Amino acid sequence: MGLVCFVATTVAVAASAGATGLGQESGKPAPPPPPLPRLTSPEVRQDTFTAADETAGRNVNVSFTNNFIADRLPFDVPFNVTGTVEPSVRRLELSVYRVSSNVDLGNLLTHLQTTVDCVGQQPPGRRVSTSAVTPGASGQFSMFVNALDPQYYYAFCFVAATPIPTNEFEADARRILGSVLPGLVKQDDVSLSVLKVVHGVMGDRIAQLGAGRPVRATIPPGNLFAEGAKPDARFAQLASDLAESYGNLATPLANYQDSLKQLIADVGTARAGPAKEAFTPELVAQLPPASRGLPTAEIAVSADPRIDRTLYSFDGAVAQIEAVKAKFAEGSQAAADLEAVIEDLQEVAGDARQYFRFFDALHAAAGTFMSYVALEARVVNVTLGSSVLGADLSRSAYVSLDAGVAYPWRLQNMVFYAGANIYFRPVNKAAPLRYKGTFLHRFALTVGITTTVRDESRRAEDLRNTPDNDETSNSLLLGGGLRVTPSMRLGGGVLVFRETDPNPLINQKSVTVTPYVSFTADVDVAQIFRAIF
Amino acid sequence: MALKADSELDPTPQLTAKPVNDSFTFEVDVVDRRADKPRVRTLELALAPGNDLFFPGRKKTVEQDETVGKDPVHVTFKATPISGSAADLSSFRVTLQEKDGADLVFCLIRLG
Repeated sequence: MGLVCFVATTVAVAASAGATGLGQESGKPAPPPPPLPRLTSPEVRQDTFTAADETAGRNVNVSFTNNFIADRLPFDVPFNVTGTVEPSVRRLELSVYRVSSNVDLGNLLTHLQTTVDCVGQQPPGRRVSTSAVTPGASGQFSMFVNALDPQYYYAFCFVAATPIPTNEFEADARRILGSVLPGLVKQDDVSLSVLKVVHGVMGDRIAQLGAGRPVRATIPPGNLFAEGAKPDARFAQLASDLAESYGNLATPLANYQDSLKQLIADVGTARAGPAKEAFTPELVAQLPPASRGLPTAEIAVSADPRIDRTLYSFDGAVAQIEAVKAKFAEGSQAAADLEAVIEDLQEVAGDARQYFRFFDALHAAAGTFMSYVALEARVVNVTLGSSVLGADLSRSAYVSLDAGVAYPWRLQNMVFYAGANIYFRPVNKAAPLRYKGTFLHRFALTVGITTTVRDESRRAEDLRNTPDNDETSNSLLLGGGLRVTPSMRLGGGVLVFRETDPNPLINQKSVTVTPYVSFTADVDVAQIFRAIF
Repeated sequence: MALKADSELDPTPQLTAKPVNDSFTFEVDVVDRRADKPRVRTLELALAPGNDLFFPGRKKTVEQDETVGKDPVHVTFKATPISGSAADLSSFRVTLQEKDGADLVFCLIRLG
């Protein structure tokens, strides 16, 4: 309960501080936040630990609405974090941070909530587990968490990545493409250094595009333009296609402009000469004006370059002039003037046709570019949890019962004993030692009481004799041991017992010790107590 | 009398390995719509001067004569060897031009 209160207070303080900071920075009321993908999950469970709760693979449900996990987290065993997110979330990433103090936890929360990747720069905590998952069709997810250490607070930082529809940034992305095209054709060849620079510029500008959105977006990992990605074969092919199509626009464009200029001049000549009657209003309407340019490369890379290609085809006008020309004598000035106009029209149309070959190729390459561009909104949500053993005091994680046999050195018989093992850290018996088997996971001090010690050769007696010395009596066992399996232990130490003086004339007994080795079985005290009460 | 390309310059193969030591075929349509009658024109394929790629004989150009008139002519430069390290290149340019004339069209060959 105390932990829950603390965590709730921490969240409230962090949220309050964030809101205040925004208000002061802008100097005016903050605009309403944009709708974010909502994270939902079933209500958290109460603290009802069973043996199953401590085994590997347990599911811990996460409540994103409460921002804390009410259950104490399992320790020393991996487990799963489960919950539900909006179906629009395509990828969920989880980073688990460990902090050892309340101050650290507050700093960590504040830091994580300012990032888009739950990392940022130098997060004030140790990241102990990361995982990523694609939620199911209904938004359900289950994410693996590495074994956590006990007695720590943990921040579970989730990033819900939701793809942004391409149409929301396509125009901007295509403008970025248009702006880098000249750089691709500065040199004759496409060098590796140019390829790298253009790739970097594209990536940077796409990243800026995402950063400027109301809900900050980033380039998804693995994307061609993701941070740190290098230009690969796909990008080399794209750059080659872009450079070839863009670079080849120049020649037919210049040819077209020259041809159009020639056409305008020749039409003027013809209209001033004997063939002037051929230029009816109907024919003149079919001739291109001097202002009829070709669409630019920027239009080629736009999403929908609507160009009326019939404006650059003059078959009707040519047929009409041919018909008029037939009326004039071959070799006449009128026929020659009209023939020049026909040639000009065919030249203009041919130049435009050649231009549009590369215009279309450039548009196709721009489409390929767009297929590589992706942005995703990243919503960070921090949920808190703890592996601190708190209110559930019946669970004595530090102490376990021990029962086994010990062989005291130089005594004639083995003794049975029962005792307590005192660990220096909480121990999860369900955790395989091969997974979490450090010295502190295995070692414990042992204090035990033995069964009767009888050894005539050393005249040994128990430390605590019964009045008639017939019943079972006890001696003391002090030592330590190492778990070799989750519940089996090898130990050693000293057996404390009473010994008669070897001199028969002296009837005096003294307390003495002898080394022992033992083989014992650990028993979980908490389970026994729970069973009793 | 302007010679013009009436298609893309289409190389085969379009991708080659480094160092380059391959033979390429180039196809293109050319036309001179203002020509009174077809006449022989000298076409050149040229490699960019700044790289270390060469046609046979360490030449930067190869020539081929074609008769070109008002109607487009399909021109093929068959099995044209190109070699060189191309160490710092991602793609290299091959330009079609009329000898002593302007560039008509170019293609880029990818280096894998």
